Amino acid sequence: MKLRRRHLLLTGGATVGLGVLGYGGSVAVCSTSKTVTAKMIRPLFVAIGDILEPEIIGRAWLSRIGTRALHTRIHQRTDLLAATLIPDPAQRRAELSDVIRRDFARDETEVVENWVVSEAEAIIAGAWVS
Amino acid sequence: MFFDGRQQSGLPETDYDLIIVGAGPAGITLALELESLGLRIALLESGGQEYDDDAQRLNEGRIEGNDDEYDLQFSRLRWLGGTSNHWGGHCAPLDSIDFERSPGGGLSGWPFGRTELEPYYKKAHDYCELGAYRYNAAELVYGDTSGFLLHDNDKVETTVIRQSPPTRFGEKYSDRLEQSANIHVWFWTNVITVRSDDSGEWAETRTLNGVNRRFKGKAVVLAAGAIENTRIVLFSNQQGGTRLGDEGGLLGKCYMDHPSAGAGFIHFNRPVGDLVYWSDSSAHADEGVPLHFVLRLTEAEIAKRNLLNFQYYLVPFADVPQKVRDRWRAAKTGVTSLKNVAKRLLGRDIPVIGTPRTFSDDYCDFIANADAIAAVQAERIFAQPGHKRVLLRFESEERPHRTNFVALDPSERDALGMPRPVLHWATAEDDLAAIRETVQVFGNIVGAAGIGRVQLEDHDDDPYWGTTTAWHQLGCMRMAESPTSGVVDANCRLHGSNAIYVASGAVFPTSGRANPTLTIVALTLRLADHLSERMQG
Repeated sequence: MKLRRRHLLLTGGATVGLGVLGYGGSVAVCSTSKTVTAKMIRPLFVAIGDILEPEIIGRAWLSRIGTRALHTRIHQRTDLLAATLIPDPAQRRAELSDVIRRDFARDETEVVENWVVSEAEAIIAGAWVS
Repeated sequence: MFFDGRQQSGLPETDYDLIIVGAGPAGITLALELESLGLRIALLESGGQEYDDDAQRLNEGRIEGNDDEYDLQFSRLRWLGGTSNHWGGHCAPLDSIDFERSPGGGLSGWPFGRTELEPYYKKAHDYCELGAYRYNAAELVYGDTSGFLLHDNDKVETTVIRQSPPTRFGEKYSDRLEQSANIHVWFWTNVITVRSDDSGEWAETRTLNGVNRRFKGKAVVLAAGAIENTRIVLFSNQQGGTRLGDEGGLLGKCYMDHPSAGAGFIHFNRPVGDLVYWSDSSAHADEGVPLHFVLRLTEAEIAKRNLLNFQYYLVPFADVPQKVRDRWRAAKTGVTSLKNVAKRLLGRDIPVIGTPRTFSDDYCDFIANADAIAAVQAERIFAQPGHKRVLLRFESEERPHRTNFVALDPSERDALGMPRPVLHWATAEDDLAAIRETVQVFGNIVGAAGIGRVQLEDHDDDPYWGTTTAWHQLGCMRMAESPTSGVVDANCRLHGSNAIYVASGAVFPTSGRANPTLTIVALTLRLADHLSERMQG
């Protein structure tokens, strides 16, 4: 069968189009999910000022566990999610301070860049730099 | 009475009731304690009444492993008073947990509990000039615990280390020893070997000028420190074809020290004022005995987590930029110059240090540094008082490991013909891991209290994690009831001997966290009771 120029153009166009659609769609879906999470956790950043070296800790922790695990951890921490719903920033900050202290009391801590930080602190710092 | 062992003649007979090898804290305590029984006691001292180069050189030896900032020659001292001549004087008893748990690795722990030593600790306080036997931190500040960083709870507590003057046992007890009719101190007399047979206990001695003597006693007590005691018994076994204290292959094994280094920092949320831990805090004493305060995990917490026993000294830590230091220096110069100007105007004398200075020198120095004086004064007025950061300096227990040991050097001998010691010592990885874990646990406690955060020292930074040492030489002749589990029995008698005993940190089966001298003296007093019964019985 003789390959017509028109067929070649159509096939090529379709392949490129599908690729673009697939990639674009994926980017859109992922960024929507990221945006949703980012929007959801933004209220936690009120506690950033209470974390020592948040950028160093956030970057180191994030590179250790990865973005996907960060999102998983955030969704597992119902106490953090509950804190995001507190409208008053001062109250929210106080609540987060309590959450962090409870982490320390339960030994839910990690050593990140030589700092002993609570898991909540690591999550907040990681989310802040992501 | 004092004798110079280098003399060939004119000296007493060498047949004694008790021969004590080494006139350090243990040897002197034992001799004085048994003096009242009327026993004839020979106290054999390698050195004289003062430091001597040739005697000190007998301490030379090799270290394989942790040889940073450590040497065998000067970590131990050879003259009357022994190593108490450079002792720091920190004293605390071992903790109950130190006696209660075994160290693992198939090794046994202490064969008795802390209560066994309590009466001897109390008595040891007198020898070490420590005042009352009191270590409860809250009681010692009369209930005012506002200077504690954390309230004592089920995880953490503040505890006390008492400060001996420090007692230089040679200086302190020299007159008593010299005046005693039945204690004979033989200076310059080095024990080469010991032997135990049906006819009695023997010590072969040699002086640096070549005088050999044989001492005979109903008992011999080795009180020459962990490394020297070990060397003497190892060499005795080598020479005599015996296995004194070595049935279980543990003679010389399980050397321990107290690794010490910066563990981490506490960064406080806000500046912290005067706490009891700062070393420049002068207000804390009990009956004139200065007190040091340290933080530690409770014994319950240590047991729960199976951690090493340890203590933290809290050291205020300042990160002062060079620019600020320069300003401080300039301000100090300016203030001194201003004072000199005032003194000149008032006609007072000014001490001349270096090149004589004129009125104009001082006046111009004051003017040149006036801005620094103003800046420093402003800092003082507006700065928040207190410390934002303190260093946690740990002193930790070291687990006994067979791989840390003292042996005889096969090629090097000292001036007396004895093989020099070789110390094989390296802080074990699992010990370092346990120390790191304690910092994290402590970080959790600080975080939960809401007072700040803990930052670990950089593990890869050798100056800290290479660990320094407290020069506490312990182990090598560990105490155990069974001759296959230890080198001496619960009475400190060398297994396999009739009456060769050890009074030294050498017998510690585990090291605990406490500075060891008080326990060494307490164990010596316990041994004195045992020998008293034995000699009189």
